[in-house]
Amino acid sequence: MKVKNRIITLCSSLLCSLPIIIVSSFTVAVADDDSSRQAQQLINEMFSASRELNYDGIFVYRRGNRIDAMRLIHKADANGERERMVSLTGYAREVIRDGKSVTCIFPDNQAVMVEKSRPQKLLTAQLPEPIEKIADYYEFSVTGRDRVVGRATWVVNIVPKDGYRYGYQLWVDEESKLLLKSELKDDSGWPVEQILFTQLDVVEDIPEQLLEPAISGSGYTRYVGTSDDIPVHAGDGEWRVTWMPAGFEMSDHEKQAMVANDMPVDHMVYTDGLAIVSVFVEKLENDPDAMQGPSRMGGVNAFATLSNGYQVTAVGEVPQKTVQLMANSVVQGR
Amino acid sequence: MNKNYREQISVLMDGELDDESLSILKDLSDNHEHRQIWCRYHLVGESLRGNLPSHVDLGLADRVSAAIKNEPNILAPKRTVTHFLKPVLGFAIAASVAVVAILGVRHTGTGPSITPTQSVAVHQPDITSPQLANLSTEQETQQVSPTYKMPANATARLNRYLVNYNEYRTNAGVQGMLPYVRIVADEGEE
Repeated sequence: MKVKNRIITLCSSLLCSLPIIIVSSFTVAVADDDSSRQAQQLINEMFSASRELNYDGIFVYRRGNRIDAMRLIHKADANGERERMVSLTGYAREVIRDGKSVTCIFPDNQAVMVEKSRPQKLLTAQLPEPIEKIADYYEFSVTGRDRVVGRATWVVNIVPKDGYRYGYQLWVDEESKLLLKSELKDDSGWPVEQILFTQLDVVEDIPEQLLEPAISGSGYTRYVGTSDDIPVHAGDGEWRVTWMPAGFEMSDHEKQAMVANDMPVDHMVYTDGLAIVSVFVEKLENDPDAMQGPSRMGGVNAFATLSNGYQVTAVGEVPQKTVQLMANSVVQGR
Repeated sequence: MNKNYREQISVLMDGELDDESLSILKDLSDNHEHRQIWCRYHLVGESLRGNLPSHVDLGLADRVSAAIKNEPNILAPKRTVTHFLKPVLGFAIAASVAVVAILGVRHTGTGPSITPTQSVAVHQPDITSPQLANLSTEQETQQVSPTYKMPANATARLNRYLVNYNEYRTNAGVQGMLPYVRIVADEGEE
């Protein structure tokens, strides 16, 4: 309403064709703004819904020319959040996650890996940065409505403003606000990765047994990461990433003793508020397992390089060139 | 340039070039003038079929070619090709040349390349027989290209990194638990 008033005032105070141009450009700007704000609000609501609701669903996951089906079960109660994801195709791998740990079960390798989980700072924690800041590097819009799993959804588009990050298209359930479909897109708009729920039940309660692993894991090799991080002191920060895309900042830095590994690993986390890149640095001495070069897992790219006997690896849901440039820019010393 | 060469280009466009003559691919990636012929032939074909877009960028192939020459590092072979095989409408002509340029680089094998078998996930080939169909071309690539060093045991380290990365991703991303899909999914060969 305010906008309309302003436009009317403008019209009456200016003459002839000029106001027409001004009016039309105003209308467009206002529409973009509204769409951007609606998109940002939907993302925040989706984030809360995914944490706070109890649900049990099946989705398909496509990357490259491969497609798989997974079951995702999420429970939130007074004890916090618990989640379990199981592959329904190929090997029955599982990931079970609670406030304390992440357990990955690999029946194909007869291995169980347990790492520490990072509880949310707040239960309602949303994106790590105010969404207005993220909007400096991505354009948000609600592009329309669609239907997924028989439910009405909003379609949210997040398009990066440069080629160093991926874009997202999200289908958000109008009712529950859960994410029902998502696409991760490269700079040509090609979906690197797609997730699509084919069944989803939002329920009052999730029975405990649904969160238990289907595989006993007895006889499996267990790799357990130490639960304590080694604190990083100011003088320790000798590793630095000297190049990153505009808007990226370090959000965390810690030394971790990871699974099956005595040497502490420097783990630096960089984010532009939406995309996250982890840079790991660990000492290798004549290690035959030293890695060099690119690697990829669905939409996650990794690039490994060696620097003075240290393994430097950048991992992130960003284009290959971004992890490569970041990994190669890591230097020791000030 | 002889008549035979032009014929070869024409045959290549029809997809009927035999294996011996495939060296033309490398030549196309190296030779600006020959690339121009390739582009013109496609233009002629498309215009005869009435498919011309309103704007045709003949310089794209050269720019792609130049960019590849200046880039010592690598294009993951399969995905890059897929990418270029789905060109933006209206650039189909020039983009098809880009595919050739990349094939040329792979054949000459001057740059390092990632082998298609490498993936971050714990790798196990035995369950994935449907992919055998792709094997012949992949082996070819492996033979001609030096590879980055990515030992089998490195996947354990990468998995570890991914779990730790995901923990931040889960807390901060727009997809909640979904990043773990990459650990649960059996990557195998793409």
